[in-house]
Amino acid sequence: MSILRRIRRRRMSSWASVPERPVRPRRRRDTGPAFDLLAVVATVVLVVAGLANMAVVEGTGPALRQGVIALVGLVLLLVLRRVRVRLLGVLGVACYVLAVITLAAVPVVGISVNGATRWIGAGGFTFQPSELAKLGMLLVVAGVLAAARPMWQRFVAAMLLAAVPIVLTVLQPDLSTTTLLVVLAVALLVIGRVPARFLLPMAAVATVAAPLVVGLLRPYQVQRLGTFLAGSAEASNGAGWAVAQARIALAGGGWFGRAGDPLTDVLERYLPERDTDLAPASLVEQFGLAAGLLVLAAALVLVWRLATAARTARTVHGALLAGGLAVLFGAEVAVSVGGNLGLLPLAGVPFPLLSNGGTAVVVHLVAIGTVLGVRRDGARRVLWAAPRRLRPRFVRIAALGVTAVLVTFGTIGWRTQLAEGATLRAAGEQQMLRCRAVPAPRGTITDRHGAVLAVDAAAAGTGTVSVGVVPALVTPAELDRVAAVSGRPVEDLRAAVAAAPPTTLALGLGEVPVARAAELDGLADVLVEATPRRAYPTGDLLGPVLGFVGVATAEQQQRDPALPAGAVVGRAGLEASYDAVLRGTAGERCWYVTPAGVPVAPAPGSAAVPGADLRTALDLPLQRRLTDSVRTSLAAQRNPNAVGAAVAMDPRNGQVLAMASLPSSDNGVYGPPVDSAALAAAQARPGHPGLNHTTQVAVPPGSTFKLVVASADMVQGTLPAHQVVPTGASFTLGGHTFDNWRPMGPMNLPQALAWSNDVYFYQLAARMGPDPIVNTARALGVGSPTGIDLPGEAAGYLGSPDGAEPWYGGTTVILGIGQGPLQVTPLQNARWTAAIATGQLVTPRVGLAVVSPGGVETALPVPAPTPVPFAGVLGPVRDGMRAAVRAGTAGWLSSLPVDSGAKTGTAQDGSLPDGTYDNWTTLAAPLDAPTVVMTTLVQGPGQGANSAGRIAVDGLTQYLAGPPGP
Amino acid sequence: MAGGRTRRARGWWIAVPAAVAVVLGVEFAVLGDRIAADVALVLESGRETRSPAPPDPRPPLPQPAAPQAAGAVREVDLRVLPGCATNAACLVRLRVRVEPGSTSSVAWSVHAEDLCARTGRVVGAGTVHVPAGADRADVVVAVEPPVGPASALTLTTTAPAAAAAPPVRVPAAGVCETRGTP
Repeated sequence: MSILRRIRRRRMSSWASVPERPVRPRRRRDTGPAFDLLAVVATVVLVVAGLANMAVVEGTGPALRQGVIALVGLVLLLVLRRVRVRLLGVLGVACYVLAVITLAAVPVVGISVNGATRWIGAGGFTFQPSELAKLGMLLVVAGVLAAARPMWQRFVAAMLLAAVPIVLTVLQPDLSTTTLLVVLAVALLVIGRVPARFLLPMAAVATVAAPLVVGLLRPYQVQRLGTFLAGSAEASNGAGWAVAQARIALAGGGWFGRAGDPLTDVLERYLPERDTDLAPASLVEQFGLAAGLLVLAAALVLVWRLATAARTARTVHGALLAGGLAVLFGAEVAVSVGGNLGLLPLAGVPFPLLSNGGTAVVVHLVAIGTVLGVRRDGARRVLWAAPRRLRPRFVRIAALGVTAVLVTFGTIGWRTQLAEGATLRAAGEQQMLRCRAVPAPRGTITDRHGAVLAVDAAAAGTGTVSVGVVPALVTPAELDRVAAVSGRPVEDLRAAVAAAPPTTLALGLGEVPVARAAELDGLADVLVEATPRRAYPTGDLLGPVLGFVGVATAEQQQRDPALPAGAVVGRAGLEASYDAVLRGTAGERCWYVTPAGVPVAPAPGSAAVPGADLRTALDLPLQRRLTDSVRTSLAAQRNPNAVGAAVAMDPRNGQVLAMASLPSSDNGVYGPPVDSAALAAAQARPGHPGLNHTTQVAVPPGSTFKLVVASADMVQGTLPAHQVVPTGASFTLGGHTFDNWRPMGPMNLPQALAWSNDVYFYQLAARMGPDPIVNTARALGVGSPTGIDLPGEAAGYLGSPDGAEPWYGGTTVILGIGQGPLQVTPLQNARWTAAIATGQLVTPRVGLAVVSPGGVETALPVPAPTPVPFAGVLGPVRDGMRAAVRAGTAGWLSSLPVDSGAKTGTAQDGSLPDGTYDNWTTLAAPLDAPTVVMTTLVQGPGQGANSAGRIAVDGLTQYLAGPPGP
Repeated sequence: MAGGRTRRARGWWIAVPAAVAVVLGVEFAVLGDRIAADVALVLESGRETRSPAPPDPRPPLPQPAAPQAAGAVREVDLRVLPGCATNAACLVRLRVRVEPGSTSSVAWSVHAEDLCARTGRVVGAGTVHVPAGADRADVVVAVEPPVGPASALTLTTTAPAAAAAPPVRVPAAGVCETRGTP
């Protein structure tokens, strides 16, 4: 060995190899610097804070158990505070060997908790060897590095000794403890003044090898490493849950916590690992930010006291022990707090002394006691203090770093409370709530006089209410009351409640009549909800007009994303058109629930807001009369598929006074819930009872269209109104003969309208050409929806020479009498009748006003009528209508005490059996200043005066007998 | 001799990091893709694998200018009736709930915003009468949203307190047109 190497070796180990002096100096009293009161107080603060947190969140039993363990640890701390420094080696070997043996035994006899096998059972206690490994490795590696051996030997020995527990914890796998052991080993090497020529190659190898190591891992190891790095914030089973809860807890505590608040009792259950990994967050939630900052301060005090103990140690072993523990403790605190704040992966590192865990607490107390012993030893033998050049290095820098990190974390915690406190607290409360929608009563539909047409069955007193209970909360007395009201045996109810999952919010126990619902008032855990069934007191009188309600369709959900799932909405008719008015806003009944979803207490909810009522323009007496008349007419028909319709409208403003459509059905079958059998029976009936035959069925208008053709003539001037034209029995064009409905003589326009002279209109159409007819028809609304406030309106059809289909001369001729490429709804017919009678084209409206609960009534907006541009030339057309009543095809109206005008029609319809027609009558009265137009349609046999006329007479008679009024 | 040892030591301090850097460079040059894939695999393996919901193609709604309840106004609510489109007259139902007896009338306005052009204007305004003792009023009014593929209607009360209902899309599925590349 060269002299140089010998000198260097001696220099490296000269201090450590100084033998103990045989004569001890006089020992100082065990006070002052020898007794580290600050460290002891900080330790006790951390232990007591942890116990207080446990007592609140886990109960006094577990806290007492942890307290006993902590007491044992504190006793050991006090005992080890007096241990002789030279015994550290023995203590280290004992801890290390025990840790290695038990670590090796874990895979064989270990206990699994939450999928991790890290514990060994011992009687009623469990023991976590990896915690002991921290102390054992710290003592042994520190001892080796302090030994009087060449540096390379110490380095190799330290590496080997550190590798054993590290490998064993990797195999568990316990990556968080592994990380801490690696940090501890590296820290010891650094502070133990291992030269850079040893450390840097190791760092270089680690740097080069690290990227390649990942590729050597097995898939499950990659998964575990990824989960460790991502932490609970993004783990597949966590989805940020843990960190989110920690932030809520941190924000919810305020300055002094919410311990004892009933809501906190529920909220704390949402914080996972609240006595271990997330104990700091739990502590803040329970005792406030003040407690959190106190704990951080205590941890900092402890770190600094351990770091300064390294400077007062008499031996290198003791100094390295103190310095290593300072670094380990600081790292544990920083990683734990960072994880609780969501700034670092929540890696399963508990807060030392604060978090639950008997082994961890005892090991940390023992370690602190040992360091206190080192400090005591150094303080009592100051003259033997280690030379400065051999003290551990970078310990104070590490302590400064920990201080900076913890101060930063504390500031961030405070700012989290300040900036996001309200939001996080709201999120915390929101997550505890589970609510059930309380359906809002739906508004009532009435006729113009207030007669009820559609109403909630419950409001009508004819429905039922559903009765449910909250299984987790319902009391026997409440069940007894439900049994008494519902008539079900209480044993059945109890069995149903017992069988229900505890997370059930509402367990349905049946329905009871509305009249008995009041008997269940005041029962906190009994839910009484009106069924959403709709009642239509007028039966099938207005079935297609009123429509029905049901669960919202996908299209309706898309149109109104605010609709809750399963919401009952209007699906057809007025119920659909005015759903936004009639449908209220559902309320909520809420409960606080555990994280598992079990209700624990009622929570504030919100009351349902009832829908508003809709007053329609319909006049119920007129509606009944018209419907009865249509029904009578249809009853006389042999064709079972025949349909009938009648509409009465105020031509001044478009108010629909009556709208009869048969066959029809009582939409009560739609419920909800739907009466499937009744609905199937209704749909099987001929004549499409679900269709509104006044707005959704278009058929040829026949001679009623002559009013439009005559209007076109007045606009065009092809045949002056009073020019008499020879007619006859038929008209021939291009070799094709078109018959009159009966032979007639020469007539002018009013006469031709009065007698519905087909040949006159054949000639007129042929002379005029199709375009004036089509243009006038369009101006009077033919071929386009009227815009009525009912869904699914048919546009009808009006062909033209510009269309895709062939157009011949004969097409124009038959268009002159309302046949050919032409189909209209009764409402369109009524609309052009009104336009010709008044000179204004109105938009029909069934809805009249919105009536708020409480009586505020506001009129619905009415589209302004469109003036007919050629209204001034339509006098002869109205004359023809009047003549039809006085001495023409509508003569049966002449007996009524009103000056009315009308037009009849009998249209051939390819969809009808031979010998049956679409029989029309359309009228306006009084003709000089019309207040009503009526259009009726009945399919069946007929010529001229037909059953549609009798319906019109009935309707007008009723109208005159009881005018609807404003 | 001491000077030589110092120079040699300095040389090591430069040479060793340089060598490590070279080795790392070679390592990443040869195995860079594999290393990147491995690291990505680790980072992804611990994260939730649930695919994110597809983004809403509709333009964002404007923030209401006021809370839904304020002062005597307990709630304002807006709904559109069927058939509401951006280029046609549109019926909307307004509902205003107030503290009973607190006011006899509520002034309201409906603001329409073109969600694509981000321009807006008032498309309707009025006053609804609230009789003594009543706590709400429901009104149906006609408004005309701006011409455009997507717009939003917002009901706001101005008196007795400023409150605003959540905005409602017209039409519900309206999206802004995106120009295709030539």
